[in-house]
Amino acid sequence: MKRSAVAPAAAIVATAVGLGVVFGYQPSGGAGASSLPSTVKVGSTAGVGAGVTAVGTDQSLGGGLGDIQVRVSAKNGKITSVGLAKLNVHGPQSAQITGSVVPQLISETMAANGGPIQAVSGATYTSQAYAASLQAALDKIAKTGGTNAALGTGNGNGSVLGNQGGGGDD
Amino acid sequence: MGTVVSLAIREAAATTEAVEPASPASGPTLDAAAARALALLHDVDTVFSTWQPDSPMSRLRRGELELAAAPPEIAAVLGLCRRARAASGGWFDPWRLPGGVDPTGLVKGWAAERALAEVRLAGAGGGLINAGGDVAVFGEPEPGQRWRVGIRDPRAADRLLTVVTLGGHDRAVATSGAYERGPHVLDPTSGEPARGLLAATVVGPDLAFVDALATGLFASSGKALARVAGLRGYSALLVYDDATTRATLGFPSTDALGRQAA
Repeated sequence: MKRSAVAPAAAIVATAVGLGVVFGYQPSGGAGASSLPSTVKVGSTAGVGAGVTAVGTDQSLGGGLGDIQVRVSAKNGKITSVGLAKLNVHGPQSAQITGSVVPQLISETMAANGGPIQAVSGATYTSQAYAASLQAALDKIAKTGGTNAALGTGNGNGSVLGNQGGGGDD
Repeated sequence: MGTVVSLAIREAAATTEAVEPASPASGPTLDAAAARALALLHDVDTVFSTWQPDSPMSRLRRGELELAAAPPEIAAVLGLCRRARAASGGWFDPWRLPGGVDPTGLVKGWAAERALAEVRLAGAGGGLINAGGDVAVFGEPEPGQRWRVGIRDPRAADRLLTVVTLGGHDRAVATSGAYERGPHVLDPTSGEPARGLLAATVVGPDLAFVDALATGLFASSGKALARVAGLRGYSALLVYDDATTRATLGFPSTDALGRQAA
């Protein structure tokens, strides 16, 4: 059953491609913790020539925390911008999520196009809802412009790529 | 909550054919390897999940399943946990957690290493796996380049504290921190959430151990730093509550970071 949720990876090309899976872990609050696997592929907008912008699905952050919707623009196979069509966050973590977690995810997405840093160590788990919405946006872009459709499956979790740029040294 | 895992793969460069052991693997071969890697992660999750009540690990924890009758990976992982417990001076201790033995602190890195091996053995020129911020690499990101991994500033998710360059035996890095999921690493001596550190990062040759040692360092509030520094091939960086940092001499970053012989 789990296996069937793993979409076959298509078109891994010479540059880094993100693939993702949600790996089960301790639930942090009960509600919304039961959703498990899916795979997501990003960085696969290679078929897109002219500029395209797409908005992903509205994804719940789980646990009544809020929701997020990601907007992506791509041109000539590169993501040119990532933004938020919507972000509602409630609860004690809201400042952290809106102020730091989501900006990090956006910079990771941008850097996936080829930044000098390939990954960041230090966990983020809020990324699931972001990734699911991002994936939906990439799927739309791929449909619009090319054959390298990004893959999304099942129940709507996903991943972001292993890249991030920016950030100053201390 | 799930941990997000991402996998980056680079095809072997055609120009290095002469030094590659086999013909460079390309798209379809690597696609299949990546699919196997992802399937492997799901399989590991099915066996080891501690929050799915029917998983073999959960049944073992409740005493409903004997170790001898459990999937053999469980005994293998628990063996690694024993070694990691000894290496950490007892600070990483899956046997001293509420609810029975819980190898979660090591199994994520262990699974990620196995998944990454699938693409390495398929002939990729380079690869990186990022399991919720715990990272392992092989090869090169681009021919002649080295993998660089940012270490998140625990006070701000969009800032990096420093960057480590991986290569040689330094091929895995893991960070244990109190941010985002809140205090969740327990001090095995008190049973209370560990205090005193914002984050602990460990670099070394194998992500399973690196992951466990980062957890142990955090659980020790930094007291295990000398112990980790004494392990051949491992280095560490601590960020204290007051944002001061302390790194072992071998930590593969060019920043000062309060570096000292531990």
